[in-house]
Amino acid sequence: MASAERSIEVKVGMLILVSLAILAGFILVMGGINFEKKFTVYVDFDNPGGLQTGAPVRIAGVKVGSVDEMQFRGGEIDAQGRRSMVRCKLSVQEKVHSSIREDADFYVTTQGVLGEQFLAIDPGTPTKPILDPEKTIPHGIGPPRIDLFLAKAYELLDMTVTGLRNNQDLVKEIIVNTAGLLTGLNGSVQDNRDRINRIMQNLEALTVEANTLTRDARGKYVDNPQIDRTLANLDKITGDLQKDTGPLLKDAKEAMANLNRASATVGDPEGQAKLKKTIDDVSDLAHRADLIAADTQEIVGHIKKGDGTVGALVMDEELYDDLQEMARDLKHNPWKFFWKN
Amino acid sequence: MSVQSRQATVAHRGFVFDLGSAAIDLARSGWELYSVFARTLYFVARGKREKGAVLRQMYEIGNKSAFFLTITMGFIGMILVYQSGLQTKRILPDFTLLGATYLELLVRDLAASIGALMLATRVGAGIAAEIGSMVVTEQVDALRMCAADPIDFLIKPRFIASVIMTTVLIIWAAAVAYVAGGATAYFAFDVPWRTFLNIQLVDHGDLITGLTKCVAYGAAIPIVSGYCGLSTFGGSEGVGWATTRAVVNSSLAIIVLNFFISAAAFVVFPK
Repeated sequence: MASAERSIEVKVGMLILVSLAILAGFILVMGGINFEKKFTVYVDFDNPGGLQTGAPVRIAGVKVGSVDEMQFRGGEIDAQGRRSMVRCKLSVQEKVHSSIREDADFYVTTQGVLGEQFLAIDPGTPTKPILDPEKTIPHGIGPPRIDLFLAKAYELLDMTVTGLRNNQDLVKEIIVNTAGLLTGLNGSVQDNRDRINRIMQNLEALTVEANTLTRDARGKYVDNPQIDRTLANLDKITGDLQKDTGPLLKDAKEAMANLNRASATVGDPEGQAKLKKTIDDVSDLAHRADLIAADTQEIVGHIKKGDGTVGALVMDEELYDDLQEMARDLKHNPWKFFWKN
Repeated sequence: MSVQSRQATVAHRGFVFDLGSAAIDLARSGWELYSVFARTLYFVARGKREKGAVLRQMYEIGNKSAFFLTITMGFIGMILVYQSGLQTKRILPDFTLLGATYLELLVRDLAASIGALMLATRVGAGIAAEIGSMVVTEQVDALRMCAADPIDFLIKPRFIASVIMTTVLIIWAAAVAYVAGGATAYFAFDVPWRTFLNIQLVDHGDLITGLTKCVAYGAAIPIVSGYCGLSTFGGSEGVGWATTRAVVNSSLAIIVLNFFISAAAFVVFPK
């Protein structure tokens, strides 16, 4: 009896142990019942789609928290001046806080094709500061609005169909006209095939020419070191000019003052009469000088022609030779000054 | 008053009478059930301790049901995965979340509910038949004469044993159903074990809900069945009725409790 009792005890104990082991193993695989420290993040959405309270929050596919609350605010502006339609309160494990940066993206997505919707966090750039949920309320990206897309596409399709149905004659006419136009165009192209080919060839040649021209122009006017030099010189000149402007202005001022003084001097009637007389005298003098010059010119003309004594002296080679000979003779025979043979 | 109208009045009075008597019966049963439950809890805290009684019941309820539950839950696991796999295949040929969804359902609800229903048929019927036959053979009256409360002596050990062993058996049954489901998914739909073994969708809320259900069902089965057994009257026919009522009422209690616990879990652990 005692062994039977013990065997009952052992059997019951074994069953309990097996069950406890299964439960413990399951909790262990589940990652423990999670009583980890959590922090709260608020995220604003214009339209979070089918996101529900209790939906998981994941970073890189790993569950790190859940959506605790979804509050409809209807565009209300809060104390910080932020306008939000829906504000979600997320409860996220404290240990992932350091990986969520200020430029992190919060978006609603779906697990599988028809799976439940959850909130995914893209942690952002590691160089940015860590998100401070007290100060920042990020703006989340809603799920793609397939319903809206379908509604708009439906409206567009409906409009197109209605338009086509109500304007059947017009559409027919347009089609007929377009067909006629295309036929005409086709005929025209067929008839002028050679010309079109020629035009195309010319166009090609033209583009080649334009290319060459551009290249040459570039070589000559853009890549030319001369232009650089010229610009440098110009720069230098303007620099100098700027430098010299001060003294130049000073000189100019002085010159203007002198001019003013001179004009003041000339300004009175007596001075003006003197000036006029002087100018008349100068004119007379010039006229005379002109006459003298004419006379001189005439004389020089005579000389050039060899007329007259000076002319002969200057222009007659023979006379020059005689004189030279006479000089040489006198040099060799100085006595001839005194004695004529 | 014509004959027809008198007949109609009698019929009308009969219907109202039936309805009223049913309601009163229900209320009385509810009250007696509550009374049995409250007294059981009282005796758990204050009652006499009979050495080995709880252990014997644990063996009877737990170990002797283990094989039956393993077989039924194994087959149910296979059927569930096969049927849901077929439906999934019809909508989209993607079995990635089959295991995860199945496990979530199993942990949160199906293992506890189906397992407890299976246990109710075996354990509930056993308790009701045993106590019922003791009642009709006046053994219970003899107990009362010996100043031993039948609730303390008969129901309390079964209650403690059932609460513990239902939980233990359901954990075991859930594991069996999951493995059987995984095997079905592997052979029927080529879902790899690694893909099927996905616990992503199970959270601590699901686990707590599931365990709460285990404890609640474990408490409900012996109380309902014990009450049915104690309220037996008549001869062996009465024992038969008591057994039937025990199974039906235990199953009903499980389903109603399932509804209330699920609703509470929905509020406490929102999904």
